[in-house]
Amino acid sequence: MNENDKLLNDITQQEYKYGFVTDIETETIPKGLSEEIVRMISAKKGEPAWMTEYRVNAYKQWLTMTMPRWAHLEIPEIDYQDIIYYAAPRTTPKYQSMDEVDPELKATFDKLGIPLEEQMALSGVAVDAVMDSVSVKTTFKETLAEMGVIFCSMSEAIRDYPELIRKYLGSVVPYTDNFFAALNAAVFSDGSFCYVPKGVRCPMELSTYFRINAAGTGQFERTLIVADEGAYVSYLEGCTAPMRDENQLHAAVVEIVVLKDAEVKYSTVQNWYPGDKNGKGGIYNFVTKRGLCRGENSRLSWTQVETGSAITWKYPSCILAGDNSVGEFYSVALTNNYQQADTGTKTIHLGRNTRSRIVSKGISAGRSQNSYRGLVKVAKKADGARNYSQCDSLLIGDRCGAHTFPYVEADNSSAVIEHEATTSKISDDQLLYCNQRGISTEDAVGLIVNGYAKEVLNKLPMEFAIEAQKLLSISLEGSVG
Amino acid sequence: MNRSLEQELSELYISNVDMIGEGLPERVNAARRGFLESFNLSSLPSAREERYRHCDLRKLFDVEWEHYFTQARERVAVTDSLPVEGYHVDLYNGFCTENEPLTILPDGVVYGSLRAAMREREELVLYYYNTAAENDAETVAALNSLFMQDGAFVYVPDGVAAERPFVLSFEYGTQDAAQMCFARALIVVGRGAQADVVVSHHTSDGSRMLVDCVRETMLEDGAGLHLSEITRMNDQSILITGNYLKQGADSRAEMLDVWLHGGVTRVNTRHDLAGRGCESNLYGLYFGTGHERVDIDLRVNHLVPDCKSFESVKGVVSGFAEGAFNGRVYVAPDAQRTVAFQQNRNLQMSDTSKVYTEPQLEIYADDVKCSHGATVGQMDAEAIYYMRQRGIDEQEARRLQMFGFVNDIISHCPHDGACDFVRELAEARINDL
Repeated sequence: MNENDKLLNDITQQEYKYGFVTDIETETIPKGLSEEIVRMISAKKGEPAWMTEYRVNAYKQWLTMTMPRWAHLEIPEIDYQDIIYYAAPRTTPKYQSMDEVDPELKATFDKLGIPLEEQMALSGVAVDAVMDSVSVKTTFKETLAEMGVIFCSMSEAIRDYPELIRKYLGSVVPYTDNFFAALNAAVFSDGSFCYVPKGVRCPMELSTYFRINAAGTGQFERTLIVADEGAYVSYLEGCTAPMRDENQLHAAVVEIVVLKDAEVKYSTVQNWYPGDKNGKGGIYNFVTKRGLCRGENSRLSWTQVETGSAITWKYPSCILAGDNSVGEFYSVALTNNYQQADTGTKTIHLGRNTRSRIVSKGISAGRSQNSYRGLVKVAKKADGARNYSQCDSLLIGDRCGAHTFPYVEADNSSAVIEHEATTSKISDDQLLYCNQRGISTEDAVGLIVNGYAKEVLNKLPMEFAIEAQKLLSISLEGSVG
Repeated sequence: MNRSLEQELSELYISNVDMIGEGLPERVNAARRGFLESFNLSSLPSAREERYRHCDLRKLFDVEWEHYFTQARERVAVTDSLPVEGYHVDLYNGFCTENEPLTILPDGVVYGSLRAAMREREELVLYYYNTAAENDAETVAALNSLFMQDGAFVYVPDGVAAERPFVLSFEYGTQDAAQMCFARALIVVGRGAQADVVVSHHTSDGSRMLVDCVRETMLEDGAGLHLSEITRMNDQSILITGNYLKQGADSRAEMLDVWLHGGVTRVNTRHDLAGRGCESNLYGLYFGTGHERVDIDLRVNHLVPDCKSFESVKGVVSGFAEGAFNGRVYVAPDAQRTVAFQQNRNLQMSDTSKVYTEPQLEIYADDVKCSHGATVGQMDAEAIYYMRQRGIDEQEARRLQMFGFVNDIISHCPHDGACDFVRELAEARINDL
C-alpha cells in the first residue's frame, strides 16, 4: 500500500470527529426569545393561527412583566436569551444498554423498587423491546375511548379538539397571570390534555407513567384537565425516580376545570435533580398550578410530594367559585443540602358554603431553606366559608431554615378560618428509642419523617405512596450523623 | 415637576433646622444629617410594599399637613390623664407640659422631658437614644428621629425597683388646621431594676392629626418591666407608632397594648431578644368600627439562645372597619432552645369589615419550639342560644360573649388600676358595637 492509499484509507475509516448530525439543524431553533421564535415554535408544531396568536400575545405580555422577587428564595439571574425554547423530542436513545447508565442513578432506582423496564425508559436507554408498555398503552387508550375520556398530548389536542382547547386553555391561568405563566403560554412545548365527559367516572388513575415514551415534553409543560358535570378523575403527574434533566429552568402550567358535581384529584411527585451536595446545578422549578371549581358541589384535591429541584416556586391553588365546592391541599416538601423551596397554596372562597383544608408538612435538612406560603381569602359573598390550615415544619440539622408565611383575608363575617403552625426538630428521645432497638440513626430519621408526613402520603394513590415513602428516606440520606 | 413627598419633608426640615435643633446636644443634631440622607434615599412605603399592603403611608402623608414645631406659648394642660397613681409625665403634641421638666428622685430614678434629660443627663440619654429604633429600615422612624424635639424619658438605675408606676400621657389636639406632630419616648430599666409604665395616647378634641411616634424601651440584664399602653384617638386621626424593645439577658417584659379608637392606627412593634434567657409576653387588643383601620406589624427577633416569647393579639372588627395583623417570629441561626408562640384571633362582626392576618415564622435554628395560630370567626351561635334559653336577651348574650373574648386579654394587664380602667373602656366600646 503506498502513502496515498494509506492516507485515503485513514480518512475514510476514521469516525467523523466533529459529530456530523445533519438533522440537528432542523430539530432545534436558535437560542433566545423573540416574537419570531414564538411564531417559529408554533409553526414547527403545525398549530392553527389562533394558537399562534395566543402565543404571540402571551409573549408580548411577558415582555411587560418582571420576574417575581417576593419569594423567600435566592434566585440567580436567569438569562432568558440564553435558552433554547424548542427542541423536538429525542428519538434516538441516549444509551445503548443499562450498563452505560450512571451507577448512582441505578442504585437509586433499585432502592425505589422501580421495575427494570421503567428504569430503562426513565434513564433514556433504548427501549424498542419495551415489552408490554406499548400494548398496555393501547389497551388503556381503548378503554378510555369507550367511555369518551380524552387523554392525549397537548399538541394532539390542539389539532384534534380545538373547540375544547379554545374554550378552556388559559381560562384558569391566563397568560396575564404572572411572569412564568406568560413565558409558558408563549413557548410551551407540549403537555397533557384530559377531558372527562359528563357523568363519567374515569375507570383508572390517569398517569403520565404510561405515556413514558411521550415524555421529554421539555421544560415548558402545559397541562389542562377538564372534568365535566358529575365526572371524576384521579390524575398522577411526575414520578418518584430522579429526573436528570439538563434544562435548568422549568416553568410549567397546570390548569384544572371542575364543573358541577365533578371531582378531580391531582397527585404529583416532583423529584427533579436538586443539584449536588455543594449546591451546584439543579433545576429551577417555577410552576403555576391552579384549579377552578366552577360548578356547585365540585371538589378538587391537590396532593404533592416535593423533594427535588434546586429552587422550587410553586403554589397549587383552588378557586372555589361554585357553591358548596371543596378544595383540599396536602403537601410534603423536603429540602436538603442547598435546596430552596417556597411552596404552598392559595385558596380563594367565592361561592357559598365552600370548604377548604390545607395540610402542609415541610422538612428541611442540611443547609436548605424551606418556606410555606399560603393565602386563604374569603370573598364578600362567600357566606359560610370554612377553612382549616395546618403547617408543620421539621428541622433536621442546625444550618437549615424553616419558614411559614400564611396570609388570611376575610371579607365575610360568616367565615370561619383557622390556621396553625408548629416548628420543631426530631427529638433526641425519639432517636434514642429507635437506636436502643437496633435501628440506625439514619433509618430512624426516615421512619420518623415518614410518620410525620403520613397524613399527606395517605392521600396518594397506593403505588405512589409506597414509592414516595422510600423517596423521603433516600432524599434525607447523609443529612444525619 | 411636582416635588416628591420626601423632598417636601426634607425641605421642611432644612428650613426649620435651627428651630428643631435649638437647645439640644450637638450629637443629637449631628445624627439628624444621617437620617436626612437615609430618608432622602428611601421613600415612604406605599401599599405596593408587602409590609404596608393594608396601610398606604404615602397616601396618609400626602395631605396638606401643618407641622407642630413649637411648644404652645401657653402651656396646654393635659385634660385627660389616666386614673393611675404614679409619677406623671404629660405631653401635648409631643412636648412636655410640666413646669419642672425633669425630676430626679433620691434613688437615682429620672423621669420627665426627654429634651430636658438630653441637656441635663446627656451622656446617659445618648447612650441609649436611637439604639433600638430602626432608622435605616423604617422611614417613619427616621422621620421621627429627624424632627424629634421633645418626648418622655424614664430611667430606673441598676438594682432599683421604682416605687410607683410611671404614667406617660401623650395628648394630641389642636383646634386649628390638620397637624402633623412627632412624639417620642425613651424608657430605660437598668440591671436588675424594676419598672411599671403606663402609657396613654389620646386626642383631646376631634381635630385631624397625624402622629408619628417612636417608643424605645431598653431592658438591661435582669431587668423587669410591666408596660401597659392604651390608645384612644379620634376617628379623624392617624397614629403611626414604632415600639422598639431591646432586652438584655434574663430580663423580663410583660406588656399590654390596647388600641381602642383611632382613624388609622399603624403599629410597628419590634422585640429584640438580645440577651440569653430573657422573656417577653405581649397581650394586644384592637377594636375597629365605622371606617377605622388598625394595622399591627409585630416582629419578634430571637437573636440569642434560650429566650422565650409569647404574643396574643385579639381583634374585634365591625362596620366598615379593617383589621390587619402581620406578625413574624424570627429565630436567628444558633438561637437554640427558643420557645416562641404567637397568635391572632379575630371576631368579624360585619360583612363590610375586613380582616387580614399573617402570622409568620422565619426560623434558622433547629432546636426550637415555635408555633403560631390565627383565626377569623364570629359569635358562637350555640352559646348565644344557650344564654337565650336562660332568659338572657340576644343583645346581652352577644355582649357577654364579646366581653369574654376581650377580657382574656385585659385580665393580663400588669397594673390593677389600669386594668379596671381598660375594662370599663372596653365594655363601653362593646356596648357601642
